[in-house]
Amino acid sequence: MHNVRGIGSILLAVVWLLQGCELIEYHPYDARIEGETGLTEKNIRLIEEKMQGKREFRFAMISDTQRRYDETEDVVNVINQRGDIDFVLHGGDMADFGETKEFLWARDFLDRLQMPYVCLLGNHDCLGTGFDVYQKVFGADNFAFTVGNVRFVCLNTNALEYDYSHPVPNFNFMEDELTGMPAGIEKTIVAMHVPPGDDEFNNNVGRAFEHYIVSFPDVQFCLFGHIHRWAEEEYFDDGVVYYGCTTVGKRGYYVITIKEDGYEIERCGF
Amino acid sequence: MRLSVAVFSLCLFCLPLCLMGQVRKSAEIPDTLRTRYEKMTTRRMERWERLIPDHYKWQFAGSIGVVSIGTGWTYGKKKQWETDVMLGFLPKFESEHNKVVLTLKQSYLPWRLRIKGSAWVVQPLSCSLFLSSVLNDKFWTREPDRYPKGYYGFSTRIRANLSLGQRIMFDIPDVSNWWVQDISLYYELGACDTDFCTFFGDRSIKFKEILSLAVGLKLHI
Repeated sequence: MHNVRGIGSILLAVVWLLQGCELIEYHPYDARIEGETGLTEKNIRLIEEKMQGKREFRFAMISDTQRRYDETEDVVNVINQRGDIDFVLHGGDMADFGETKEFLWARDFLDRLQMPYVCLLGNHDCLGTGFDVYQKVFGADNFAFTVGNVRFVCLNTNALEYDYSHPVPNFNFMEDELTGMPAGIEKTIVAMHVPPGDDEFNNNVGRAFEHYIVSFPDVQFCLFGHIHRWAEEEYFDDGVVYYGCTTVGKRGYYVITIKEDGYEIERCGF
Repeated sequence: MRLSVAVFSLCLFCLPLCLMGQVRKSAEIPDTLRTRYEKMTTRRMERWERLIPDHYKWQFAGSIGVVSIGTGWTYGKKKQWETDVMLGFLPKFESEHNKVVLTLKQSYLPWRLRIKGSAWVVQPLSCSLFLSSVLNDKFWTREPDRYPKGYYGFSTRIRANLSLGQRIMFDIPDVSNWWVQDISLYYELGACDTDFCTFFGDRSIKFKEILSLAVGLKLHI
């Protein structure tokens, strides 16, 4: 009995020592998060403070970085070296399998950006415990922020992942955003992971979705990721252009310049 | 149809009678047949006894839960094979529910090196392959019907892992006073299918970043 107790206490000591060790993973989907959390909120605050009062600015969009850490590292370096980017928008799919460590890897690579960044929710980010981890590490799946006189509305459009258990797209959020639009907003940019018409999108409400989109103040354009190639589509023949950003795996990113009278959108390679 | 059912039932009914007859007969006729019968029953019992697990395990971490308990079989000429069934507990951490992970594990331990003149035995290598399954509705083996065919092309529920490890075993010298034959302390380092996918597709992810450590105790009874 003495020996058993001895072995037991040695084991407990070993376990206690190992707890903080990097080699410990309880399960790929364990949702055990170490390091920084709540990044969307923190970064939104940084962006809003930094860009207050500006009417012209430039931001970059990258997307679908899942299992493409080499390219993510490269694009982060390229964007840092340019020195002309105010903030970065990630189009979603930081993870491929929805595993916890994929989000943490993505966060750690993106944290090397010298400017603030926000990440949309991609469909791959919803797998397993992915959505829970996304919410903890980044934040809400629908969020909005103000850059000078432009409102950025970021939406979860991964309807196929939820089976009606969660409102996607969330019209209540869009309604609240419309009615509570902060003062001084003159233009809107809408960003999402999945574009209308895709298998993943809830196409039954496509037109209703677009109805809300066009009600936002002076919609400039919409941005999306997901399809892993460049795209420029007008899905509803109403003048609202949807720009698709390719994956970093294909070594591309957008540089978007908002000007007093319009915008420029450039497909960049690296 | 009915006829065949009737014949089948009759056979089932007659079978025990035939066996009983045999038993009675074997009781009457001495020695040779009786021994043969005994041999047969002994062999039969032995075969079934092999299904009784002969070891228990307790494990910390290793991608199958925070703490797992398991039972299984140690077999082979040099007791080099091991099969385990394990249940691991995975607290919810930042997710919605606590989870239970079921694991089926096959291990091969080619060497047993006894430290001279002692009860300690080192097993310098263990190779394991195991499948783990998250017992939770949010995870699927095959994609639910709502997805187009082959949309994701993998299972969120089942993970296949490979691991290598080492053990130190205390081979209890006088078993009669104990309730186990030997106790081993082990560690294993492994990675799962999705980890290998990430690792081989990318240079930025170092091998140690995909490794998962398990520490455990095995009681061989």
